[in-house]
Amino acid sequence: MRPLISYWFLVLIVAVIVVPDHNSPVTDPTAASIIRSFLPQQESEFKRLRHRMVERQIRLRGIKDQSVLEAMRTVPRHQFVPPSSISEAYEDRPLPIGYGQTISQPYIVAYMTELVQVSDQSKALEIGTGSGYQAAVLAEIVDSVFTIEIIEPLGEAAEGRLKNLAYENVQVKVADGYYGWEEHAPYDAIVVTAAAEHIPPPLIDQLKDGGKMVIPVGHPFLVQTLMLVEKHDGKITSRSLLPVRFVPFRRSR
Amino acid sequence: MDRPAWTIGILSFALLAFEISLMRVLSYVQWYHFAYMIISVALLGFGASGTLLFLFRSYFLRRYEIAIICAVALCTLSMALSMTLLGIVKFDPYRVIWKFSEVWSLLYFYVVLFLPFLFGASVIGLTFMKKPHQIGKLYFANLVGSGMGSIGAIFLTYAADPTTLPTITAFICILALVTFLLDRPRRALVASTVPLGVTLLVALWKPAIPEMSEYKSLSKALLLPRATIVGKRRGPLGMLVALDSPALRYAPGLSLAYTGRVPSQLGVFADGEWVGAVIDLQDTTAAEFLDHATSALAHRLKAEPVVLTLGAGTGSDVFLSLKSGARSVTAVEMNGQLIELLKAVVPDRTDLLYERRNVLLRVEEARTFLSGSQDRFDLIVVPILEGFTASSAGTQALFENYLFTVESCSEMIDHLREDGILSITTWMDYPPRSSLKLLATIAEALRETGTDRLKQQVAMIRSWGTVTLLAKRSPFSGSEVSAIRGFCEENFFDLVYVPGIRPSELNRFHRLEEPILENAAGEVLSNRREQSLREYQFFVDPARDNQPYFSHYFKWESLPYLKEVYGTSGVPFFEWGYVILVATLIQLGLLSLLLIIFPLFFLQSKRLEKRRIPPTLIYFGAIGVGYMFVEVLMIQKFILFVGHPIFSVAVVVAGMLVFSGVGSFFSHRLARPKTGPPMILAIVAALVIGFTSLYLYGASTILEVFAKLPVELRLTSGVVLLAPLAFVMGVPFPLGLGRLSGSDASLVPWAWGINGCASVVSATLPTFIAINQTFVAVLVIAAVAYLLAFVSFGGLGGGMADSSRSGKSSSNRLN
Repeated sequence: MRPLISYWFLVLIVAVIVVPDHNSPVTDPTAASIIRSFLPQQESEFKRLRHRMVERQIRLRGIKDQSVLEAMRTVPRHQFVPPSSISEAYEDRPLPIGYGQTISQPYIVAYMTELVQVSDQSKALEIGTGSGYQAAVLAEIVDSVFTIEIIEPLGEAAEGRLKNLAYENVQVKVADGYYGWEEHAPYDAIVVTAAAEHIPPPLIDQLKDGGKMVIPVGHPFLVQTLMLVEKHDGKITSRSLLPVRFVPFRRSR
Repeated sequence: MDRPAWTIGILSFALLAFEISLMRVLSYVQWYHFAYMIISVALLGFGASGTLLFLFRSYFLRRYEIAIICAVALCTLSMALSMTLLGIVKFDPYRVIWKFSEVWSLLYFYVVLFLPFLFGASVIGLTFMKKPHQIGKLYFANLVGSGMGSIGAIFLTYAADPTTLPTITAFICILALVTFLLDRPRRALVASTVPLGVTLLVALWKPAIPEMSEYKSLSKALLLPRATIVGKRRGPLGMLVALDSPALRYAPGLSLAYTGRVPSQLGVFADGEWVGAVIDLQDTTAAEFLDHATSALAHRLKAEPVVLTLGAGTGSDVFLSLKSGARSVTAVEMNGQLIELLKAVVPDRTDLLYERRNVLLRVEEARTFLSGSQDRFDLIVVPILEGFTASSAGTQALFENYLFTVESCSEMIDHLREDGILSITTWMDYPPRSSLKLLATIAEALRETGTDRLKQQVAMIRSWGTVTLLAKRSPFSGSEVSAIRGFCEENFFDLVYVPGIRPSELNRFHRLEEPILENAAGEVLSNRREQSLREYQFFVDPARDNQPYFSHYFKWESLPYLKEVYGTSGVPFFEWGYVILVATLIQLGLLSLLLIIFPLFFLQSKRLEKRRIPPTLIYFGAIGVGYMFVEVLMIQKFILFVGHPIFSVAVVVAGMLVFSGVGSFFSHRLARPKTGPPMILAIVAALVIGFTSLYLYGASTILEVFAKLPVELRLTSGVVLLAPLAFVMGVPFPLGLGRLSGSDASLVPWAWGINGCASVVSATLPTFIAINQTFVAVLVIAAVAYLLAFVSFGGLGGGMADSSRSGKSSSNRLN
């Protein structure tokens, strides 16, 4: 009987180990709205991770715009992720922030920012504030950022976070992004951070002549293509840009 | 029938109904494929119960009655508490890819759902062990109970919310307990007090229920300002919800040239996933935007057409047709619950549409409609595929799609008038998969008409978000091609292909770094297509009725490349269903080993007749595999015959189980010979091959006959077709078990466990095989399995635990 008992004992141990992980995806944005304070050595470790992120995930993948690279080196991404994800803040992937939303992969944020070609004179509109990270990256480069979030708790948390991080050139509004933000229009750049199945006509209207708009297309966890809309002399053109180069036929590789 | 048989029957009813309820719950809170993965593991409880009884055989047999009482009570408790236990833990399947700790939540789900099956199956297995002389009768009760349970569950889905269903099945378990103790009311009362109390408490109090994943469309839509649920409909095809919010707008792939408004619409969701939008028809300018999507193209080419819309859903495309001047629209929609929801909940919006004089609504599956209708149309429209995420309760039927197969497209083309147009819209995906597969499928259907003007008969355009494909029986005229060009120019849409397309016309408005779709489309229409399809990174070969997996694009050969380009964690997002299917198979394989083979090593001290082990394993494994392969195959094919996935499940699962039950009941009379593999096994193998080949190769004839019948006759004929096959397939299990209990009774529960595991694994395997091969491969394996059973039968021993022997002597031998 002994081996028998030991077999079931083994099964029992396995069963006991299977304890639910109650703490895993805690994504309460209100908890993250207050800026967390870290020890100086922790902050310097985050800085090191951030620089490594820019080098390995962004610069090596072909992002050349110095202002974008500098902004990515500056914005403390770990302040924008939920507490349970701080250790993953500088990893090469999107992270959930609650409400079915994500903070995009660092490379995608950098790529989108580079695509809209903004300067310190520019005025940018963002649809879908989310955590506020993309707005902060834009704020490092442009003159002013106007960002709209439809989900109230997310918008409020992001507003508090950006304020505490002293991004004074960012204005957050909780509203339906479909209508854009008429009173500050036109914009040099519009960044839509949520994948959409249509592009609201008012947004195209609020794009300045010569301005650029960028929109991700695909699954929230895997951006398959970025759509870039440009306006020249009132004429609209658009392009799809693949974050990665895809070769359709195996023979042509 | 005596009490143990009734107990088994009722308990089997509850277990099957519970399984189907779980499928509904998990499809609702998560997604079908995750539901599938979790439940298939939970079902291994059947296998584990066999091992448990095998290891502690004499212990349980000595305490038969109390063991049964405890197991039924535990089964009840674990069912009643299952929703609460799932509700207190959050599980995010996407995180499993990146975060190991999420695996613990998944394991917790497995364990919670494994227990009811373990306890329930233990009751059945223990009774088989205790009363081997009644095996035919008991197995009959088991199968008939399960069959009724599968139908019962479908009815239950209309009556209660998914998360309430397990509580109902828990009450049914209590009924089984009371039945078991019917002659001792006092004991029955004592034994059922705790389970009844807890179940009542859970039913009334509902301490926690599983929450819907935050990534589902409905969860997100509920966060929109002033979002209100304005209507709900329950049913086996999914929980339908209509939601209103001023911020909800839907205009897939809308032209960037459009400067008008996109009105807010009412959204309809099935199991939390988007189904479609309902446009307010009283708002006169509300539908203006519909003219500025690629799907409006066909209406530009046809004035006052007679239209057929396949998969009309919430009606946007029907409305577009009416608005564009259609003389009449025949709207075919399979989901009657959806129509009811639209009619009852938003009468002022959609009632107008589906009840308009020139709209003929047909609540029917598209293929059934096509096979039964003689009408011809100027325009056949297949709206953008949203895909009902709801499953056909408890089976693997989800992945197949009989609408986008070569055979189906041929039927659509047959229903076109001489100059008619078929218009199908799909999403623009990057890299191109669905759009290209659609073109390949349509092109193949046109080729089969024997045309030599294929390149004149198709046209394809794209916006940044959608692709619309047009096909004709006759070539597109010069004026039609100019109209297509004009429509594209106006809306900033790009030509993917039109007859006589020039390279300078490609990639003008929504520019791609490389015109991948355009180039690939050219290849698909050319004579090089076979080589090109082979070399394409995704599987975009035409889908067929014998391999109807339109949304399967994954190619193993491309895996290294996809990993290189999108990263290991990016790959699953291309093909969740397939990834989950593979993961499920691996898990099931490993767990089956753990539950079936591994325990044997701990039993060296026990006196076992070692030579019985391999034949037992082969025989019971093979009949488990054979049975499930045939069943899954039949469900897949019957969707076409009876015209609805739910009817298919009901007819096949219930029909197979009930008639197999009858077969089992007569098994002893059918198999008297004491030695050698009885003829009946050879007959089973022959019938399996005969019947399934008939369904596979005679499918189109059967479909034509069935489509002409009213639905009741279709269902009855389906059962009649299945009955003889199911009858003989019910014989091998009790036959083998009877033989085994005569030679080595200690192996009986182990055999029951093997059969359970094999059945669970083979409920998943046929889909995997059919996706990669075709249904024919599934059939071949099923036939081989029965042949193996035939060969290995002799190894089970010579004697039979015959019903002529007294029950007492058999029980003594077992003890």
